[in-house]
Amino acid sequence: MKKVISLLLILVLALSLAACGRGSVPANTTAASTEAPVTEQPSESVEESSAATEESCCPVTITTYDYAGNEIQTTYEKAPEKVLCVYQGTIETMIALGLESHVIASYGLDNPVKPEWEAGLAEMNYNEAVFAPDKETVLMMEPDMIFTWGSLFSDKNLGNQAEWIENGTNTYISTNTRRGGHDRTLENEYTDLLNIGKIFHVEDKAQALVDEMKSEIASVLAQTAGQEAPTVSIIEFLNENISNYGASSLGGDMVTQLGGILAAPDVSAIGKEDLLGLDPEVIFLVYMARTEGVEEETRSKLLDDPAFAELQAVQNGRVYTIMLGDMYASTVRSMDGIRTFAAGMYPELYR
Amino acid sequence: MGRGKEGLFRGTPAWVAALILLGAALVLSLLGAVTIGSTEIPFRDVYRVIGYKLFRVGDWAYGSGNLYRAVWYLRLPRLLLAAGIGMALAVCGVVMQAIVKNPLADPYVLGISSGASLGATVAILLGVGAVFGENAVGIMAFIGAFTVSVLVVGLANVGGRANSVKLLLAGMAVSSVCGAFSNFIVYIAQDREGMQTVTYWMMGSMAGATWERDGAVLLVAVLGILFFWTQYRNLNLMLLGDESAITLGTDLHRWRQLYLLAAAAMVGFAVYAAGMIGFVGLIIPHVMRMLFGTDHKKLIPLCALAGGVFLVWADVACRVMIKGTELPIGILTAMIGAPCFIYLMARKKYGFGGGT
Amino acid sequence: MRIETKALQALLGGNRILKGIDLEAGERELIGVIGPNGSGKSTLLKCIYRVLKPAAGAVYLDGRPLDDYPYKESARNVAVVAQHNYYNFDFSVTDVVLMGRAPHKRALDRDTAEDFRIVRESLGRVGMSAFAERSFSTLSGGEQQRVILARALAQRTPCLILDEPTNHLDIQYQLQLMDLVRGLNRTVIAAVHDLNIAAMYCDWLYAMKDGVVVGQGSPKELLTPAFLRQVYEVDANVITDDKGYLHILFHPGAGETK
Repeated sequence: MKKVISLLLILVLALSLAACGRGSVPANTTAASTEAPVTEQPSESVEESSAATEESCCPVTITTYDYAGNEIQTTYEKAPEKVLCVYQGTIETMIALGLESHVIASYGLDNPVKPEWEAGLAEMNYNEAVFAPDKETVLMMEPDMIFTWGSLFSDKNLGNQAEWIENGTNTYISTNTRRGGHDRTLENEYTDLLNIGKIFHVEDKAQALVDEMKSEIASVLAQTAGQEAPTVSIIEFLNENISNYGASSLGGDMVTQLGGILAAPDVSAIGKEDLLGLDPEVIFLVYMARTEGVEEETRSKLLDDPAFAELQAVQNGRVYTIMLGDMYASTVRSMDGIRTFAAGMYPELYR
Repeated sequence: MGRGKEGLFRGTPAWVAALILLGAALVLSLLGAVTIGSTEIPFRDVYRVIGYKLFRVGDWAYGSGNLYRAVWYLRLPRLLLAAGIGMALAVCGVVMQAIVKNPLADPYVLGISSGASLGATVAILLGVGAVFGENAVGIMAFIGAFTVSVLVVGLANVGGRANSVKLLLAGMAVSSVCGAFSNFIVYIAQDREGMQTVTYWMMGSMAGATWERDGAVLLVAVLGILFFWTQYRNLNLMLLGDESAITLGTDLHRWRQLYLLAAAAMVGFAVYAAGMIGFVGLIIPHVMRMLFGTDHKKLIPLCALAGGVFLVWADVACRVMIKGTELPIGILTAMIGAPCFIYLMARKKYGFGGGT
Repeated sequence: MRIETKALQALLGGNRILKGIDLEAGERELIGVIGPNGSGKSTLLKCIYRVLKPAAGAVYLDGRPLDDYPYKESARNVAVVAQHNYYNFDFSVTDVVLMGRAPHKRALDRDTAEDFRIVRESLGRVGMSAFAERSFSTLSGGEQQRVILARALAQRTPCLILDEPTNHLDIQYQLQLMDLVRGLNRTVIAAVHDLNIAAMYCDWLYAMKDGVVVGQGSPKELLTPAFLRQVYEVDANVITDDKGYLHILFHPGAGETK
């Protein structure tokens, strides 16, 4: 009997050693496979494979937030290989940073990704059937990182983040989806991009994206220095009610940073008469590009309403539409948001 | 007939006086409320705009500018819509209470509200009815409300004639089914924005008032109210019960269904124009009954006028209570109505006004 | 106005309550329907005042089948004072009596001065004039019964149906009500619970038991001790007093003499 037990123990030990040994092999195969698919900056792929071999050093500690909005610290021993991405911004961030191969599953696009990112999406195992996965599905796929919005960690969805982290799945939520009434800012989007860069050791790419945005803003400010700041409203029609994006929203922050003045910085909804009273110089109409024709419908809702016919923005043709995805937890699309806002606020610059 | 000993105003002349007073109150309320809004506009300018538009008197300058737009395209249509809807909901409340012989009924009982919200949910989240264009949500809500009423009537007639109890049960059954479908659609559509839109729509709002819509709603409301006013005898008989009604020469069965469908149409229009606004149809009839008794000959016109006045001021309150933004009107009526409701229940006078 | 039923049968919940009733109420006769509870008295009356549809047989008003009459017309000919349901509604007494004018009104007719005069007169006949502006639901059972009678009177019909009208009344008002009814000189069919009242006021009696008419006749002819034992299963004595009124005197059950 004793002999059998000791034989079994040796067998178990041998098997586990073999498994550990196999664990180190995939690192090399991913390094090889990242060179094969076409990425945006092919020259970078060399850096990437060298970065991949660095994964055994420098564990990275990243600050993120839990469902209630409190800060939590997560540590990444190496760049995650089995990432689950849910929602548009997170998916597009991974593609823009060339990290498609790290993603094992993705869900939750509000609208199609940009054409240049379609190839990347194809590798991310995008699941169209369900908008967001349930807990059991996620458990079965055994991700080592979940990259999504804060709302997905509610009790009814994936549940407690601490549990996931304890069991070896790190989580990262877009900072601008942190609950608890915190301001949504561009700074947060920059932070997210840089953090992802750190986690996956693609800091240069991430920095480049951030720098692009910062320089655009700086250039606009430089060219419009001395001009009077335009008054701006960012509104969205929910049926007949008007939702307002104020100073604490990402869109509001973009406008403020571009040197505009928000006509209604403090309220989240306004009445039609309020809009008449505010009479901003520029109006941005937010819409969700779910289906064809939504953009046109949104424009006509404002332009065809006799009550608004004498708003200065309407009379001067300063009514612009902007996609929700470009100014709400927009990560890499923030660039588009910034450009749309800047073009609307200073049309002469972009003629 | 002089002032009665029981209650406040049972004598005949008193209610006619009240009718005239309420009518005047409605007109004055409209004239007064139009000067109040979320932006400051001086009295005189407001009336100048109205004077110019209606009677072509005065300075043509008052026919343009944002001031003019605010008064003529925002405030006035809203107030007229509020008056029309308040009138319609109050009278439909009275009628529904007679139909189900229960003073706790409101215009949305018997499935009308679930049908309307199912229609709206389907329109907002599934895009059904997009062919109706801008008014899609409202029209779908109306279709939902009316279809459900027809279903309820049909269901209540299965296995024998429909009476008040069977109508109530059928209403509950159909409501549950509609509610289940609505929830299912909300879940399947996975549309956060859409859900928010549905929620806001359910809270009701006068913001969608335009002159065209007002015309339709006011026409239906006034015609409906006049119709029900002529039916006061049958409505009185409904409270006595079917058996007594037969001995007094009226078979209520068909009338009950006709009234239900007519009320459903009126409520459907109200819902189409402004979403769901609660408590008006419940509280106004109660208060009027407490003051004037149950005779529908008096109750219907009094409730109509009182409902109109109430909702006009409710709409004003919505726009000025919180600076710079607008409260959905359904929230306001609930905030006022719920305490009133509790008060009425506590007084135990929630019968049709009488008894201990 | 004459009321007749021929071979009237009625079902309630699958049970045969009336098994073929032939009844005749001639011009201005006060007909009493007597019998133990469950004999079908109320069901018979309900068929006559159209709340129940008979399963077989027919009812005739002045020789014409009842089904040929629209409801409003039959309501102008037959008024009912039935077992009363208690509603929690706040109509005034006047409002209630005014509803008795409904069969005479078309859809858009207003309530005229004549209507109000009839209401006042009807209330006077039942002795409830002082209660005209009172709320109906605040009255006692007996007072409400009298108001319902006033409503029936306001209907100005040649026939009156009364379903146990004296149930809730004090003896004074029981007699008053029956005096009043007899003084109306109209065709009346009344289901009466109290045999002495029936004997005192009715011209002709129909006795029912288990859904059939087991006997009919004038009170003097019909109400014999033997008959009473057959119908009610009690021991009784029938005497005529010095004023000519019939009285039924009941004795306690057999074997319980004390």
